[in-house]
Amino acid sequence: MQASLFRVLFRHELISLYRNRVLITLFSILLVLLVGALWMGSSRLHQQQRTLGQIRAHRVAAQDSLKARIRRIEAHGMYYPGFIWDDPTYAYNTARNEGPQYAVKQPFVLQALATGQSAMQPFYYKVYITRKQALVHESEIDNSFLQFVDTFDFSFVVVYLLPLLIIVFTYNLLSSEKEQGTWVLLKTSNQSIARLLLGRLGIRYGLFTAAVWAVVVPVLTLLIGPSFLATTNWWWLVAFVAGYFAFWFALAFLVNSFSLSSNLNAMSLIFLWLLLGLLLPNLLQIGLNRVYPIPSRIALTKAEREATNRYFEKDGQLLTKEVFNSPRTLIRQASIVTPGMVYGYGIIVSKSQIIKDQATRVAENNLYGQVEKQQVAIGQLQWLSPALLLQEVLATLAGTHWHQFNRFSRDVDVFREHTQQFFYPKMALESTYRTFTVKDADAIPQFQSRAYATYSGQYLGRVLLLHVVGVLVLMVLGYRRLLHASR
Amino acid sequence: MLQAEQLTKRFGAHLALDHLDLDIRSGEVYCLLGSNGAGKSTTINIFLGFLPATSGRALIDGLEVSVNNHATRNMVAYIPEVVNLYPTLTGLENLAFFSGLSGYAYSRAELRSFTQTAGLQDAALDQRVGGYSKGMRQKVGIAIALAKQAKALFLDEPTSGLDPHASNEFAQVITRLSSQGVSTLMATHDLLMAKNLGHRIGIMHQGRLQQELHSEAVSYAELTDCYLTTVNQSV
Repeated sequence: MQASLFRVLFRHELISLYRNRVLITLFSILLVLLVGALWMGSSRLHQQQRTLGQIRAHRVAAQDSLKARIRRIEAHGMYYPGFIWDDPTYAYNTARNEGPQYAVKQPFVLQALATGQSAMQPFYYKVYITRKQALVHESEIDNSFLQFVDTFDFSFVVVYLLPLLIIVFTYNLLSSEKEQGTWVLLKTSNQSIARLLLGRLGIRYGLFTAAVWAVVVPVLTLLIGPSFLATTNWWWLVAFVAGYFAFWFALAFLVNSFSLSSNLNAMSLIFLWLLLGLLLPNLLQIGLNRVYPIPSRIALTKAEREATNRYFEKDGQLLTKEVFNSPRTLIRQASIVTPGMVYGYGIIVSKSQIIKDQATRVAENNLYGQVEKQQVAIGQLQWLSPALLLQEVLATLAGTHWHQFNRFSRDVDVFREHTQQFFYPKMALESTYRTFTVKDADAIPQFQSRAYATYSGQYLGRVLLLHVVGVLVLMVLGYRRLLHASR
Repeated sequence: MLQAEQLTKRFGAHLALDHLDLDIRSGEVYCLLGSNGAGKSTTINIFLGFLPATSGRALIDGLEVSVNNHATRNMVAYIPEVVNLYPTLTGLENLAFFSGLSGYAYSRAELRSFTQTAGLQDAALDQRVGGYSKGMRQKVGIAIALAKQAKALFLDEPTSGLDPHASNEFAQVITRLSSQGVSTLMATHDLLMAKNLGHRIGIMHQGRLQQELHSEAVSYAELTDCYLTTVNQSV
């Protein structure tokens, strides 16, 4: 009866791995870390989802309150018993008080796998006519442990830790045969060493990958529910992670083909891990920071302040004088706050804001422009390091990449302009000053959340294909070397 | 079955094997004697395809080793001085693996019959090889050869370090295999083993086959004299 080589090797590998206590211990530790990382990621996701739920509830309550107050004022012949600056029928007051809406970047479910920039970048803003305000909700800082370990997630374990385990799995595939003397019996079998090694490596790759997903899928299902399985991004993620594991196995195959000692194999692979996982990405970042230096956020604030000062020193003087001295507004002369005064402040705020926004936009464009240039360069150079490539792809698939937050921030800027365009004309209506109605309250612009799925399937497919080609090249080189060596 | 035709091997300036001619028939046990560096192991390594010959040909069942390496490896089994096996696997698992690599899938009962033929006790079958003695490992090596259904057996100092009882058991197995038509080329320093086990004995010195004797035609004393005379030629 003929034995299939695959069956023989599979059984052999299974027994050998199962009886290797060091490997089993290491694997178990890393699987525990993997579960921990999934818990961290899902906790952050849940935290954001809780915050967004609270924001939704707050928005509905604020809107209902606004409309109820306006209705009450209208029902009492426009009589408002409270402080004039709180009267919601003044557009300027509503623009300041209950009018500002939240702009929200909805987290992807896969954010539980790759925290990316979500720990640093705001995922929601409160948008005023004068500014977009990034807030930290109370519940977001109640778990200081999560804040402390925010980058320890699935992507960290996959990109940095699991390659180390792959190295332990593979560094002595061939050298151990030589060192323990079984090489001689293998060479007298009628299988080529290249084929044997390839078969064993393939089986180890399959077992390793299956073990990782066998842990990740049920744990993630328990933590965030099974909906992620129905997303296209999930299957892309599975494919990319499988490709990344394949790269490290292929690299180990090539290193093994040089027939060095186990120690040298291990050292070579660790060096490559350091080079590809840590050194190259960091050198790249240092280089790009020099080529495209990012202006500080302090510079952004400074530019805004200078623009305000310029405005008040020059153009604003005229407007301010006009408004202050106008018989309609009577700000200067008034001993009590008049309706005209509220209107006048609205005019000053809206006009000065246009000038400040223009000045800030230059500084913002400079900041985000430099960041985008860096991102474009990283996108082009990510091929130098599979670790960097996977990190970029995982963050993108999880919706936590820099460029996704960048786009969100820019969308919020556009939304603020819409908000301004909505409130400014109402603030400038002079007929009664008190122009804001229930109908207007219903018409306050709402931020339309987008998915920010910035990579097309075609692009991802191309990246994956090139990755697979890279793996195949390594395998072919290793196979040829082994064939040549065993001749 | 095994033929060497003007087989020569050079390692740089050193001539390790010098125009060796051999012809070993089916079922014949051929013992190569000689001091260290005489060329015995080099001869075996060329037959196994581990080393390429500088010139000349090594043939197994009419097939030239260097040209038909894959086919010739299928016909041979090799038992080195120390049979190294996977220490975390049991004797039976090692046997199943190496016979499986050669394309044979045996039942546990069949594998057990090979180990019994090789003289390995049943109690040891399911023990990890890490705890085996040298003799037990040799027996697993023989069982692998049996399971591979090898036509030719290459032995390199197989009884070195074995106790007399284990050596005797080993010799019995080789004799049994010989009676089944398996050709054996054995490199050894053990003159008594060569005399008792071999049909023919070749004495090598400095890469050349200096003497070839039929073991039945010489006494142990004559063999010893002949051996000493040959290896002391250049002293």
